[in-house]
Order: sequence, then C-alpha cells, then structure tokens
Amino acid sequence: MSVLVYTESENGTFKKASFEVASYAKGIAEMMGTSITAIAVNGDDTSSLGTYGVDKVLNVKNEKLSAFNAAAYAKAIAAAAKEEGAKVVVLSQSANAKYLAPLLAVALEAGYASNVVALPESASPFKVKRTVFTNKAFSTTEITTDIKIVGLGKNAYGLKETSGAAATEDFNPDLGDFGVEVASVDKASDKVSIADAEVVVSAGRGLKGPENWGMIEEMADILGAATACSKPVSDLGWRPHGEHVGQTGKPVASNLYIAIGISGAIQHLAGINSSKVKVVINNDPEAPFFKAADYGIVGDAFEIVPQLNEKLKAFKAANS
Amino acid sequence: MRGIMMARKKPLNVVEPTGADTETTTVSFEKPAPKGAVKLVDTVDELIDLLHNEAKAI
Repeated sequence: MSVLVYTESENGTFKKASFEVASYAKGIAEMMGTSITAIAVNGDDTSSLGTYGVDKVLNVKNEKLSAFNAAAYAKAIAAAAKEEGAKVVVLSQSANAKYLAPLLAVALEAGYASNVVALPESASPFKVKRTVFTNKAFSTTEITTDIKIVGLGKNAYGLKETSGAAATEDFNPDLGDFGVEVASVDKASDKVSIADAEVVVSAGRGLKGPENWGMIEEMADILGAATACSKPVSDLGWRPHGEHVGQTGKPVASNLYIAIGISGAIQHLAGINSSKVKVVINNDPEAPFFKAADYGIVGDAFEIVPQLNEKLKAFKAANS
Repeated sequence: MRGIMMARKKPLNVVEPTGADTETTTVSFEKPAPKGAVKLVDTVDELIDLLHNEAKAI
C-alpha cells in the first residue's frame, strides 16, 4: 500500500506540476503513514523527484510512449497502481492528465475528484476540498471507493522540498495495441508557455491593434513571463489562438497576472481567477476587472506600459 | 388517431436502472473568502513597490 503519483515529463525533464503533485502526495502519505511511488514515462532525471518526497520511481521506458496517448498512459498507470497496491493516485490538472484520469478511474474502479486544492480533511472518510463552478465556490467531496484518484489543481499546493532520494526501477507493463499513432509533433519552443509561467502578461482590445503588442512582449521579456490575450483579440486575428485565456481558452493559475486594456468580462475572469495576484491597467475606472483585481492603475495603457517597462527594467537590474 | 390507438396497445417494459452507484458524494459547498477591494495606485513606482514588498510577486 502506497500513494501513487503520476509525474509528467517532457523530453525526459519533469515539469513543475510533477514536483507539486509529488509534494502533495507526500502530505497524503504522511497522513496515511505510507510511502510514495511515482510513475514516470521516459523520465531522465528521476532522482530529482526524491527532493519532493518520492521514495520510489517506476520508470516506463518505451519509445512508443514518447508522444502522449491517453489510453496507453492510463493502462501503464493502472498497472503501476495494481503492482504497488496504491489506494490513492495523485494526478495534476494538465490537459493530458485530465484526459487520462477518467480512463484510469474506470480501469481501477476508482472515484475521481478533480481540481482539488488542499490536503484531505481526513484519510477515512476521504474528504477533499475542490473548486467548483469555474472557481466561484469550493465543495467538499467525499470519495467512497476503495481506490481514490485526486486531480490536484495547478499552483494550488506549492512545492515542498524535503531531503530524500528516490530509487528508480524500470517498469514495463503490457500495454497492448495503441490504436492511435502520432505521426509528428509541431511545437512552438521559443516562448514561455502560459501553463508553466509564473507571470502572465495579458492584453485586450484596448490596445487597438496587433502593431501595439511590442510593448507587451517587451514587458513579458523583462519579467520572464508568458504573453496572453482576451478572446476578441484572438478572434480578430491580432494574436494566435493559443494565447487566448478565459473560460473557453486556456486557464491561467500564475502567481502574477497583469491585464492591460482588458475590461474583465465574466468569461475572461473565469479563466484567470485562480491566479494569485492580479494587476489591472485600464483607462475606464468602471471596468469590471477592477472588482476582481488586487492592484489597479486607471490610465492610458500607451502611457503607463512604457513607463512600467522602464521601471521594471531598472528594478530587475537592481534586484538580480 | 389510429397511430395513437395502436401505440397504446404496445407492451411497456419497465427496466431497472443499472450502474447508478455513485463513487463520490458532495458533502458541502462553501463560498470563497470575500476579496479585499482593489488597491488603486497612481504611479508605476508605487505599483512595483507593492508587487515586490507586499504581494512578493516580483
């Protein structure tokens, strides 16, 4: 009996979300007095997981799994859960994890709670707090099955380092036929992705046109941030659709979210309200975004953003 | 009319539902803690200072 955690990696390197789910699993394992096993697919630096409390890593090395395949990944995780006799399986809430979680729940006959934001109130009965209604409320959900699957919300628990080393074992479950084959993957690699970014700089229709995005990209460069936009902007073709955040776009759960020239429609807010600190720059003092923000400046973005860039540059130079 | 009368003669099988077991139950709902009002600042310097010292975001 142990806690199983699925640690996602990309090209062998573990993602930040993997360390977060490992930290969370450590919390559960301490409550239950048990150990943590991680399952990784084609992971390289498996020892790095030990820093976050993982005791043992089952590493599946399989060329065919280098591209994500939900059915095959779910099979591998289910096989690992059975081998370890895991009673709790912890996943992240990445697009891939959300895809495989229901498949895994069926394979293990387990109950699944998504968007969990805190450690269980008690291990038995197993009750967890999760966000519901696009982050407008919390619910306490009890999982009544023998095996429980927990989907940990992004940036909800944080990283907790411990001292420890993880032993790595190769793990080769029988995965059967895949049914689907990935022919090729095209990925933008030169930019910080919205999902991984600590800081997101976002701009809306208030910027008047795509030619004015230079100052937004400059700010993102200074802060090491990802750039994002509101729905009208991507619909007008000013920015690529991949940058659209909101209810129908990408969700953002960064530490800092800077919104420039975005009025704050409810659909936009639904996508960004798990961010920790929100800053709004808008020339309309009545913009609904100010009600959801932590800090705000009322003023013209074309005056404020260049000033802010200058000051941020000076600030970064002085503090690094 | 004829169709309706014919349909009334069809046998009606009542089937028990299956697979209706729930694996999770919601115990309670709660609202998030009320958020403080937005802090409006006038200058960029003030904003950077607040983000660094108060919010610890940069």
